[in-house]
Formats: sequence, structure tokens, C-alpha cells
Amino acid sequence: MRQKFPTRRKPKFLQVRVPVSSRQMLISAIGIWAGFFGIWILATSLHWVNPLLVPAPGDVLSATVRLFASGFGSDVLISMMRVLVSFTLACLVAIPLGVAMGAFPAVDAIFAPFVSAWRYLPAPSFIPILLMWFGTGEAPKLALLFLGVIFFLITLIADHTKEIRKELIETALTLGAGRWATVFGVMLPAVAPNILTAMRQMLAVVWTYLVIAEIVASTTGIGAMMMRARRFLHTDEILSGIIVIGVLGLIFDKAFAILHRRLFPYLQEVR
Amino acid sequence: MSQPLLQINNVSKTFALSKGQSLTAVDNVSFAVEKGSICVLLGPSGSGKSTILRMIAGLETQSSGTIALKGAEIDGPARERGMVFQAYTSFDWMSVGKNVEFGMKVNGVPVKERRERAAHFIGLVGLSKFIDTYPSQLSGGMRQRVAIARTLANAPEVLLMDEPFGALDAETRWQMQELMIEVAEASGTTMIIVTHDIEEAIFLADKIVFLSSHPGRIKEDIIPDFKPAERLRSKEELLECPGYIDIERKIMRMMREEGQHG
Repeated sequence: MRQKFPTRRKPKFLQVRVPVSSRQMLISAIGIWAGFFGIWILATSLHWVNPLLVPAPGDVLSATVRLFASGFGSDVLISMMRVLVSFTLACLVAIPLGVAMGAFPAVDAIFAPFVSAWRYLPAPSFIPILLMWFGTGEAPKLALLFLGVIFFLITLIADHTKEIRKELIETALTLGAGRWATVFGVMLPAVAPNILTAMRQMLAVVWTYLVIAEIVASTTGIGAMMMRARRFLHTDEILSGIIVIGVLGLIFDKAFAILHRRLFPYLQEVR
Repeated sequence: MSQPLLQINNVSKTFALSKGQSLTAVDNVSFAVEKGSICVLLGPSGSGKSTILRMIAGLETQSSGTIALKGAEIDGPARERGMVFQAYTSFDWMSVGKNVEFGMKVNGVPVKERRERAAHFIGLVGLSKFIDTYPSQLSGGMRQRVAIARTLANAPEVLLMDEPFGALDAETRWQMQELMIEVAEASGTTMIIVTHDIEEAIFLADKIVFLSSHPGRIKEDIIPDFKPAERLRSKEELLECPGYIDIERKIMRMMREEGQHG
């Protein structure tokens, strides 16, 4: 018996790996957020939830405006400075060390056993001792953020450097490049896009540790504001803080994406 | 006759495997390469031909024997023995021009001179229009041209090529083979080319070193003297040479014999 196949199949919603149109992407994206805010607004206006615990979206918005009017901007600035300073310090250590570990097995033999052990220690476990060593100023916060990412950053950069194709390095050597010309002229530029991607991933982790540091041991910054708000049951302000952190994270991420395009134009031009 | 440019004497290479075992990849190989000639290392897989080339490049160290360039024993990789690989090795972050300048730059050639030399060799491989293009925008064949220009511009004593056209489609491969003859004629560069393509070997070679497999040993030196004194410029000319079929048949038979007990 012969099976009769329809000449045209009706498109199904769920299709394995069939790309969707940009229109469908837009509608889907708006839809999920509309659903989220819709449920939120519904839940608050119909009093399904305690307004003290779950304020309405409008209240959160007005709380955000109120916060910025009364000096929240300086908290945001302090938090950003903490992230940028500690992350810059971490990169200044991790990039040269990671590349050196990836390029020279002798350096890797020294640092790899050390770094991989530290990677498994949760950075927040150092908070008590950091407070005892550095007191309550900026130093313990910066130290926590630094400790939180440095070992991951080193490992990622070292691994990416080790993944550079052997032929690229051998080409440089047979062109007469010495080891320094090979490292700085070929290996570093070859791994640079991956370093920037690793930085982009790790910056998100710094934000996580920032909030931990500010909630546990700070009187300034976004996290400290949120803890203050908790004391007075200002849930709208806590949610403002979360949203501000989210927006800042998005901005930093976007900045990295733009930087990546600017610094490595040759990666975009593959068509 | 003066001494050959490159002299390989009784070279062997043994790789250590796990559990105290070892593998002899190259066994007591000797041959010489004359200045300005094209020498092709031909053999089935497992004949150690790439290993021999890598030892000449200084990327591997022989277990015994000597490799001497102009009478001086080689020591590690150096500019005088430039290598072109089968895999693409373009430096993607540099334009074609900067790629070709790289070797000269690390060797301290002044800017003006290296610009001129780069432009000359990019022209020789037919890529003048693409001097400011990134390699990622080029086809596979064009990228190999960049690699060849980059190595030639660095003025090596000998150009080493490890199956350089293996990843290219047939038509591009013929073009590249013809280009290599053109380059050899124009620059007088000595070349050692590793391949397993019999036709390619016969077309390019002034001398074919045929290697047997497991372990790699020289079975025979084949001089394709059926070709006219002037090098052939196109693959079609090769087909018209009397004697070509005989050589091809002979090498095919040698390959098959290797395959049977290999």
C-alpha cells in the first residue's frame, strides 16, 4: 500500500532548529515581558498579595525616582567604582599571568596547582577574615570582588591561550620569530578576542560578589541601600535596587559587546 | 659539483609511546637537495614524510643523524627554513599585507623595504587587489597564497611545504601547482614539498624521494627526467609528455606494494 504524502505541510509552532522570523521573535519577546508585568499588575491591583511584600510596578518606579532624588546616585556610583576598580586590578594580574601560563609550560607548572586549588574556595568565606585584616573601609570589599574572579579569570585566559592552534605558533617560529615576538606578535593577538569574552563573563560574577559584599559589610552602595530599605519594610526600594543592578549589568554587557566589535573588526567580516 | 644546499644524513626519528614502547617513524634516511631545485617527498601515510619535513624545519628533533644547511647543522626553527602548512595559518587580525610583512618585521627589515617586498610577493601570487583585506574574507586557495607569499617574502634558503594544497578543491589545486612552478622560476627558491598526490609530485618535482611506510625509509629516488629541461607551466603539458604514464604507473605500483604490507 502506498502512503500518500501531503504536498504542503502545515507549519507547526515547535519545529526542531527551524529559525523563526524576526516578527515572531519580536512578538515573543514583548509577549513574555507583557505577561510578566501583566501578572504583577493584576496580582497587586486585585490584592492577591500583600502590598507590603509585593509593591505594584508603579510604586517601584516612583520609589526609584524618589531614591535618585535623595542621593541614591552616589550609592550607584560607589558600587560602580568598586566593580571597576577591583575588576581592573583582577584583569591586570590575570591577563599577563594567564597568557604566560598558556604560553610557557614552565610558568603553568608553577601556578596551575596553586590557582586550581583556590578556584574551589568560595570567595564569601573570606569575608570574616577580610574584615579583620582590612577593617570596614573600601579595602575588604575590593579584596572580596578581586578574590571572587581572579582565579577563574586566570584559568579561563590560560586555557584559551593553550587552545591557540599549534600551526599558528609554528608558522611564527619558522618565520624567524623569537619567543617574545611569538608571544606578543602572534599568541596575544590570537587570544585577545577570547580574553575580552572571558572578561565579559567574569564581570557578571563581580556584580554578584558586589551585592554580597555590600549586604554583609557596607553602609554605602546599592546593596547597603537595599539592606537599609529592608529594615523599614520598603520593598519598593529593594526592588528598585534589583532593577538598577540589572540595568547596570545590561549596560556593561552591551559596552563589552560594542568594544568587541570595535577591537576585532576582522571577526565580523566573515560572511 | 659544489655541495648541495641541504644535506640529510642517516636521520632517524623514534617517538616514545606509553608503557615503554616506541615507534620508529623515520629510519635512516639520507638525501640531498640542490640549490634552486624542487624536491618532493612522496609516500603513503605512515612513511614519515611530514616528520622529515618538520625535522628540517627544526620543529622536531631527530633521534640520530644530521641535517645540515650549507654545511652547518641546523638548530631549531629559523627564518632560513620557512614552512607552509596544510591548515590555514593566516594571522586573522592582520591585513594580507601585514601578514606578509610579519616575518620581515620580526627580523628587523626596515619598514620601507618590507612594504616593497610584501607588495612584490603578493603580486607574484596574484593577490595585489587584496593587500588591505583581512584573510578571513578570502577563499581557502587565496589564504594559502598569502601563506606562500609570507614565507617567500622572508627570503628563506629553502621553502618547506607540508601537503600545502591538500585542503583545496581539484581546480584550485592545479592552479596552485602551476603557481609554485611560476614562483620557483621567478624567485629561484629551493623547495621541499610533502605530498601523497602522485600527479602533483611528478608535475612539480625535479627529484622525487619515495618513502616506504612503517617505518619510513627511502625506497627510491626518482628523477622525472622525461620532462623537458625547461619546467612545465601547466598540468596539461604534463599529460602530453611521453614517459609520464610510465612514471605514474611505476609510482602507483610502489604505492600499492606499500599498502599491501604496510
